[in-house]
Amino acid sequence: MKTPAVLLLFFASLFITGFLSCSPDIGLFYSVTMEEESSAGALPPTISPGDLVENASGEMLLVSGGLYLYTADAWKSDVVSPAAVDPQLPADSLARSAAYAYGTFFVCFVDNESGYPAGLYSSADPFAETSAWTKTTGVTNPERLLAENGVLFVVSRDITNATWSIYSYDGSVFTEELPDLDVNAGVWDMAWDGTDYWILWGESLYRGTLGGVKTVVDCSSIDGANIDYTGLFFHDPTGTIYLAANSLSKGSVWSWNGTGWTSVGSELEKLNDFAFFTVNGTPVILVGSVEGYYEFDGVSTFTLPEITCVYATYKTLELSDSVIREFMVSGDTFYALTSNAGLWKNSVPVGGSTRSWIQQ
Amino acid sequence: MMVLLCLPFALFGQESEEPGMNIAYNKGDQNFLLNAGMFLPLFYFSTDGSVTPALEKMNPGITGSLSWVSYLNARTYLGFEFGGVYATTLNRTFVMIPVLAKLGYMFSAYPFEFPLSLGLGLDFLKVDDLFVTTVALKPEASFYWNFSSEWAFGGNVAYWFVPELYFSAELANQSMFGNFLDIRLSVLYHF
Repeated sequence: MKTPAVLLLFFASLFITGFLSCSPDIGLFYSVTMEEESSAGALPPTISPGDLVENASGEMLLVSGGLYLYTADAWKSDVVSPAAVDPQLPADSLARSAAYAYGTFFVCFVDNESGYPAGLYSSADPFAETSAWTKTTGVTNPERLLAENGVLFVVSRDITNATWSIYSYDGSVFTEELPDLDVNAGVWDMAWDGTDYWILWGESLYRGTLGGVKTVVDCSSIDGANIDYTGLFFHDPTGTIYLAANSLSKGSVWSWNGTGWTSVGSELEKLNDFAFFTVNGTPVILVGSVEGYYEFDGVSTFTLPEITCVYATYKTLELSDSVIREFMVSGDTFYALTSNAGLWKNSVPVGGSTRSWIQQ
Repeated sequence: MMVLLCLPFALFGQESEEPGMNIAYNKGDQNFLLNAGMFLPLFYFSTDGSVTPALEKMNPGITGSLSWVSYLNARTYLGFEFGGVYATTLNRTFVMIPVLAKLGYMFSAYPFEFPLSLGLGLDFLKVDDLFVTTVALKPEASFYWNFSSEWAFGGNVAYWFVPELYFSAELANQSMFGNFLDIRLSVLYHF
């Protein structure tokens, strides 16, 4: 019988072809059953957050090329842009960096094509329908903002000489703190211990008082081949400065003992940023890495948290697979800004270390 | 579906055969069958026993297929079916392309035919950028009215059983079984 034989061969070849195909990252039917309707108050799932800052009322501003505001438990993207009030700012300029200080939100824009600084704008209330942004003058080519505990620094770029300077800003006057920096690389970060600022810039760590003496912090004890300093954190309850450093393939964490650096963790994934909160009075420090994050007890123990299933609009995303570039803590809520999986929100758990993250 | 209903009259415009004529199949006779209709998601159940009503997550869609069968004897036939399903989920689009082997048995009471068939084969599933190849089992009950010795019209109801099984540790808990229903109108051509 020819017909059944031909059909048998046909379907056998199809079966072989089909089962040799690759497995997906998530079950298809499973993804459908987990799918939730996109709400108007959600961020785009593919967003790559740049900076997330918060005012005293818990309202937040997220910059990610565009501007997103979080208020009344929802994100809104139809935000009045500074380009609407300043014809000198091209409409396609990209919001690169944000900060909140002196009761005001600040945003740095860069030109979409050249990447050059396009202006520093501020608004006390970007949430109001009639809010207006004001261009902040006094510093040339503002490119990036560094802020912590209300202390604001502006990174200024000299396009002609390819150098950078860092200015402090007291709400009205810019003061040059670190001139003629010539490294266009690395993660920029800062910590503020109440008296001194600590600023990471490329391969150097600077310490100084506002408008006062600046020194380059000796990092010889942690120097090695191809070391980058990537994160800086001031642990307020203990007054300790922590520094994250990455070699080519591994990350390590160091603490400042007043005169030098002491290793508190090594052989970790490559690290990016710190966040701090307490669980039942016990301090927990999160250290963001290129594969999720560690929980750090502030002494010497780093643990990988058990992360419960986390769901985006329709995908299952494991935060442990994501690059956490930056954290932001707001009361009992904390946020993880990832490079590849959007913005995630979590709450300090009542007990235990299992955490459920929700993509915003 | 309206096109399917009108097609035979538009194309052929002929009277039906005289009463008493019987459509008898012989070994080697063949049928082409065109189906179109509604795709209805029923439910998913997972290997842990939980059941998720499918209509909560997926809207009814459209379905269509082309079948060819050859009779092994007067009542039993073997063939294949190639089809397509389109539906929307809450945010995405669901596409299913089955390629099935089909074994059937026909009951007849002229001018009506009541074939029962079972389809088994590969099923290509796609939801946006997610693509899966799996198998599908599809029992089907049909009803046809023979308009002429060559053409018949009717409809069918088919049940889809689509297992999506994973054996890796990462995905084992995401193994699920899709259960769907087709309700379709049909045009059948004997030759």
